[in-house]
Amino acid sequence: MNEPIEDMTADASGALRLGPFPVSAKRSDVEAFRAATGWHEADLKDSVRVPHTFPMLWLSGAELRAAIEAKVQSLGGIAIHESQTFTYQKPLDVDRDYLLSAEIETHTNPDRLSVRVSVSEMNDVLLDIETILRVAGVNEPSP
Amino acid sequence: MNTGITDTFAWPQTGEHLPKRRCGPVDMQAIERYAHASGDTNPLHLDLTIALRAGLEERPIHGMLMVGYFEPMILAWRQDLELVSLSTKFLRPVFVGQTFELSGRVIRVTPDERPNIILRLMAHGFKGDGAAGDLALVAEGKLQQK
Repeated sequence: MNEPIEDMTADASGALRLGPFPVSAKRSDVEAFRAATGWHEADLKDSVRVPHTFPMLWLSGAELRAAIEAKVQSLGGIAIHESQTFTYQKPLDVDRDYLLSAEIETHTNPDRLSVRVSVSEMNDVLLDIETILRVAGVNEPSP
Repeated sequence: MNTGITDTFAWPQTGEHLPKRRCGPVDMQAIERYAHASGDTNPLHLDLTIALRAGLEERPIHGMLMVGYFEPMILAWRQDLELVSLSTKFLRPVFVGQTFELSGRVIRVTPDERPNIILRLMAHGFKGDGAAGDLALVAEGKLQQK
């Protein structure tokens, strides 16, 4: 059972709002992400920039992850990643701190979760992220 | 009207193809490396029992691992452009041990004040037995001049 989550509220539509939470683009995390996603030395000329999809790391932060897992559990299945969108207003830089806010909405028939995240700095939204997860049933293991 | 498209900048042409990039075979070490780097430790990708229970033939590699490879592919093509948005739909899984191939094409260059270059991007998974690739994901990327 997941622990209760602080910093979260539900609005009239039932959407769950979380945050803002502090997140950081630590150089060591960015380098590990680059190493895992096919970057070569020749691609690193502009290395102060955070890779476009690096904020996936922040989506797996404890608070957001626990909230998503609780929603998936309540729908009774496993989460299948259906679509993913990143829309930048400004690029993110290595070794900078940002704030992350999220909203999770449940849809039925078929069961889906939409997770909308915004990443901001000094009240400016720099990045919007939308994740759609389909929640599919799991077959029982063979005897 | 200022279209933003000047003669001094070599804008990509509609229909232009990006050089393809073949990646893999993706082994468990690569999947674990991505799981660690992205924090996505969903056991579907890491635990064969869970993958089989979900009706899959093997552990699927993270779809976002393949998506992450698009940016270095785009930068290798044009370092003077930057990716400002990327929207991906995941269609079929690619499994551990398979390779994937990224491809892309310019589908539109908008004559805005700050022109947008719109790319159609795809990843195909290959089983390695000479079979044709399966379309694993499609994406649309928007680029702008740095």
